[in-house]
Amino acid sequence: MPAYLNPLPDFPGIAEPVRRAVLIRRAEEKLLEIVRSGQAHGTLHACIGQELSAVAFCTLLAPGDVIFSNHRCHGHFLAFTGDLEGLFGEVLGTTAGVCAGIGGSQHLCQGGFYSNGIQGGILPVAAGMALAAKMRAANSVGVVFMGDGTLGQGVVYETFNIISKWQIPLLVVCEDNGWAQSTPKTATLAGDITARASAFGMRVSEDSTADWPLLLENARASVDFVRSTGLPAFHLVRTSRLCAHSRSDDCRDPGEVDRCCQADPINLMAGDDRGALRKWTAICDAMVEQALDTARRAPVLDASALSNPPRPRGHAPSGSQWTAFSPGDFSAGCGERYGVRINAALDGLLSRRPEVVLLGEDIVDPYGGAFKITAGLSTRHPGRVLSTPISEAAMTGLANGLALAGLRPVVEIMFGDFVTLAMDQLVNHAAKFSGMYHGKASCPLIMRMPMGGHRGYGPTHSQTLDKLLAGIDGVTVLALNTLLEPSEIYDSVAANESGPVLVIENKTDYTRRLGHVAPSMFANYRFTRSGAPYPTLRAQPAATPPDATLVTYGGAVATAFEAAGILFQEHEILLEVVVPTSLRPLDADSLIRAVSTARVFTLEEGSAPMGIGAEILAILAEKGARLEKVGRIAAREGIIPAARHLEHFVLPSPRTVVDRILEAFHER
Amino acid sequence: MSVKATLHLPAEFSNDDSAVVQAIYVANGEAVSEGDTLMSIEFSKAAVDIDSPVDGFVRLLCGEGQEVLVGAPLAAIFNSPEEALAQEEPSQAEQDALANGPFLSDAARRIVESDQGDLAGLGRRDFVRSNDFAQKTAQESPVADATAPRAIPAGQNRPSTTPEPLTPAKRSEVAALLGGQNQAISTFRTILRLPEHFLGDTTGGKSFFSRLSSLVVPAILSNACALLKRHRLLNARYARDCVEIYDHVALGYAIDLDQGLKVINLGDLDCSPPADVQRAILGFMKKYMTGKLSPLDLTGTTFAVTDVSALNVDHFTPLVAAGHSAILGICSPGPDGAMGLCLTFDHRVTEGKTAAAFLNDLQRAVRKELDAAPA
Repeated sequence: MPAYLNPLPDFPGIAEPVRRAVLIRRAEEKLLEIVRSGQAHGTLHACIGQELSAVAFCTLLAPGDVIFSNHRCHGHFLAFTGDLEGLFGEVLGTTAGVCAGIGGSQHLCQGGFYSNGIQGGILPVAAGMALAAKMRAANSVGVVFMGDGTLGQGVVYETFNIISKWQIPLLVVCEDNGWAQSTPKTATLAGDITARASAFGMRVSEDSTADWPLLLENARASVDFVRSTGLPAFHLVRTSRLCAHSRSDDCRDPGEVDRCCQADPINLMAGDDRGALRKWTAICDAMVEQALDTARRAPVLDASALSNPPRPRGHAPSGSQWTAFSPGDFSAGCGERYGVRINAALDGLLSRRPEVVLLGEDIVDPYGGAFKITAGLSTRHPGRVLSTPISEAAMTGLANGLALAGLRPVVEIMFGDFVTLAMDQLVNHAAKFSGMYHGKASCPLIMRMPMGGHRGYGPTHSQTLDKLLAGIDGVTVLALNTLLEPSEIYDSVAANESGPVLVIENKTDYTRRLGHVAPSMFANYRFTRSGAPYPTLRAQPAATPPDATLVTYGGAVATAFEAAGILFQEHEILLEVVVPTSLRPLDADSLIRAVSTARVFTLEEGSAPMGIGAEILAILAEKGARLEKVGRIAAREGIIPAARHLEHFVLPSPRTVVDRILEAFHER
Repeated sequence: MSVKATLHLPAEFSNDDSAVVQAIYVANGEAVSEGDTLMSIEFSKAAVDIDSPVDGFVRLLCGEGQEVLVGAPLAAIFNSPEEALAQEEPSQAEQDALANGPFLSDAARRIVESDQGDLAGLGRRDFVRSNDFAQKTAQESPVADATAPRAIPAGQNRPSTTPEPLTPAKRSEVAALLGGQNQAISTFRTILRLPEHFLGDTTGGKSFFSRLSSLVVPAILSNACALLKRHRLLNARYARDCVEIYDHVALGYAIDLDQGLKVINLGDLDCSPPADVQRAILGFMKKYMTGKLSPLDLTGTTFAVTDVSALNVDHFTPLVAAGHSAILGICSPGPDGAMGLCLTFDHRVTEGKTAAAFLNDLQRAVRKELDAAPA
C-alpha cells in the first residue's frame, strides 16, 4: 500500500509513475525558479532527470517502512509523501514547511521520510531504523538513497559490512549520475560499483532510468526481496542529472548535458506526446501553483521558538534544595568497584526497559568489553547486547537509527579517544535530528566512553576529549564520578532524556570503590548535593570556612581529594571541592551556589585551552561570582606519552594541584 | 525559603585579603530596615560599616572578632524571622563531622605532640591549623586587643628543634620549605678534618672562629659551587613530577640573626677568594639587621647551605628548600678538628651515590685548599 499523504488525481492515458515523475519535475523547476529569483534563502539540489528512480522505489513502500535520503532529496520526498506544500514551505522558510523552515531543502522529515545533507552518514542511520524494525519483528524495510559520489565515504562500507553480516532489511539505492558535484566519476572511482556491494555478500541489481519500465519491475523485486528475506540488497540505478549540482555550478560539457536531455525518458515522452502529457503537465503546474500559494501565505516561524535551546529535562530549575549525603552511605554496592556498579546500572536498564539495546566493540561474553563493564550482560539479555565490527561511525549511526525508531541504544566506545571516529554521527546526526526536524524526531542515544590516562596506554588511548564533546550543541554531556551511584544517572537519563546523552566515564574510576573518599580528613567534611537529577556535589569542611574552591569532575575528583588532603595537612590551606555532573549544559545556578570562596581553581584531566575549566570560570564570572584569584589546572598541552614518568609529567597529579594552588597563594 | 540578600565581605583595599569583624550590632533573627548598619569590619586601613540593602530579618554568618576572607558571606536577610533563625539544612552532617574530633595539620600535630598547644582548649573544631593555637593565645592574653598581633612573631626565643606558632609569613615560608621534601629525603654526613695548624685554640677563642669564618666556611662554599657543576642533580629541582637541572649555580646561604630565617643569594662562588666570600656574607648580614634585604637578595637560589659551625652543633639535618634538590649543612668542628658536613637531598631527584661522591669530593678539595693556606 503506497504511503502517499496526498494521492494523485486520476489521469487516463499516462502511467502513474510517469505522472508522479512529471509532477516532481514541474515542482523542482518551480523551486529552481524561486531560488534563482531570490525568493528563497539558500540553495537546493534538484534531481531533474532522476525522478523515475525516486518513483520506482518510494511508491512501493508501506506504513512502517522508512526512507533516508540525501541532499538531493526532493524527488524521494515527493514520491513518498506527495506533500508539495511541505516542500515549498520548507524552501521558502514558512511554517507550511515540514520542518517550519528550520531544515530547509536538504533536511526534511515527514512520516517515515528523513533526509540529511551529509554524505554517507545516513547509511548507518537508515540501517539502524531497519534494524529496529527487525528487532520488533515488524515486516518493515528501510530504503536509503546515495549518489555515486558518496562511494568515496568509508562509512558506506562499514554499513555494507554490518547490514550484510547482521542481515538488516535495508535496500541501498545508489543513484549513479556520473558526477560528484563537478568531478566526473571517472576521475575518482576505482573498480566497479556493484562489485563493491557484491564483495559484502549483498544481492545486487543494476538498472537505468532510461529503461524505466524494467527499473520499476526490478525495484519491486529488490524491495520484495528485502521484505521477504529480511536481508539487505544493493540496487544501482544509472541515471542523468540534467541540472547543475546546486544552482549555477555546472562545469560539465554543455554538449554532454544536451545529449542527456535528449535521451531523458520524460523528454522523449513529451516529444511523442499527442496531448495527454501536456494536459497532465498543466494539471501538475496548477497543483504546484496552488501549493506554492499556500506555502507562501503561511506565517513564518517566530524566532522565539529558537531562543531557548531545548533544555534537557533532567535539569531541574534553580533553587532546588540541596541535601546532605554521606559518601559511604549508598544503599547498595558501597565499597564495590565502580566498574561493577556501572555494570549493575546497565543490567538494571536492560532488565527494566525493553527498549534498551547495548552496542559496542567486544562487549559480549566471555570478553565482556575491554574494561569488563558489560561482562555477563549478553548472557543475561540475549539478543540485546551486540558486539559490532570495529566501525565506530557505523556503530553510532546504527544506534542513531535505533534511537530515531524509538529504541534506547547505549553505545560503548571502547576508548574515549575513538569517539573522533564517530564525530559525524554525533555532530551532524544525533545532535541535529530533533532541532532540524523541528521536533518531529528525537534521538535518545546514550553513548558511554572511558576517558583518561594514568594507565600507560599512550597518546591515542589516554586522552580526555571531554571538551570536544561538550562543545557540541544539541547533546548533553555528563561525567560520572565515584560519589554517584551510576544507576542513578543512567536511570535518570533513560527516564527523562529525549536527546543524545554522552556519558564520560574514567578508566581509573573503574577500579576505584563507589563512595570511597581518600584521605581520611574528609570524615570532617560535609557532603551536599543539589536537587538536580545530575547533581552538583560539594564537599566542604564541616565548620571552618575553606580558603579556596576546587571545581572538578569525573575521574579528576580523586586527584582533587588527594590534593586537598596534602594542602591542608602540609600547608594548612583548606579546600572545598565542587563537582558538577553535567558538563553540557553546566548547571550554572548550582555552581554559583556551591562556590563559597573567591579563590576558585578548576581541575580537569584534559588540557586547559578552550576547556571545561575555562567554561566553568566564565560562567561563574558571568553569574557575578566574586573571583579574586582563579586558575585552570589541567594536563600539559600536547601528547600523552606512554612511559610512566613522562605520562605522569603531562597529566595533572595531586602534586600538580598542590603546586599550582601554593603558587597562587604565595603570589599574594 | 528564600534569601532576600546575602552580604559578602567587600574588597575595600587591594592589600587586604581578609578583615576582622569588629562589632555586630544586630542579633540573629532581628528585623532590620534598608540602610541599617549590621556590623563594622576592620580592614588594615579603616573600619567599614556593612549596611542592610533591604528590609527583612537577619541571619548572621560570622562572629565578632572573626577574621573573614574577602568575598565570604557575612549575613543573609530573609523574609521572616523563622527563616532567618532556621538551621542550615546539613546541620546533622555538620554535627556528625564535628563528632569525629578535629583533624590536625602536620604543623598543628607537631605543636600538640610537643606540648606547645592545648587541643582541648580550642573547643569543638573540624580542622585545626597551627595558628589556631596562636589565635587562642592572643585572645587569652590580658594585653590582647583587636589590634594585637594574632600570632607570636617569628624568631622570639625559638629553640632550634621545637616548632613554634607561625605567623602567616612564617607559614608560607614553611610551605615553601616543605614544598621541596614531601617525598623521600636522606641526610648523609662526612667529616672534614681541619689541618693541625688550625687547631691552636679549639675552645672557641677568637682566632679560631675568625679562621672558621674567614677561611674554612668560604672554602666550603666556593668548592661546593665548583662541585655542583659536576654533580648536577644536586643543583636541580623536582618540579611537576620531573627533574629540572639549573643551568647555573646560585648558592643560598641561610642566616638567622633573630629576625627570621632568610636565605640570601650569594650567586656562584666558584673560584672566589675567601676574603670576597666573607665580605659578601657580612654585607648581607648588615642588610639583614637593618631590614634592607631586597627580594632580589632572597630569591633565585639553586642550592643552599646552612652553616651552624659557630653554634657548637656537631650533627644536624638541614631541610631542603622548595625549588632545590639538596642542602649542605656545616657543623661545628670538634676538639680534634673533625667537622661534620651534612647533605640532605631529595631522593626523587638523585640518590645516595651522588651525595656521597659530592661530600667526599668536597672534603678533599677543602682540605687541599686549607693545607695550602698559611698557618
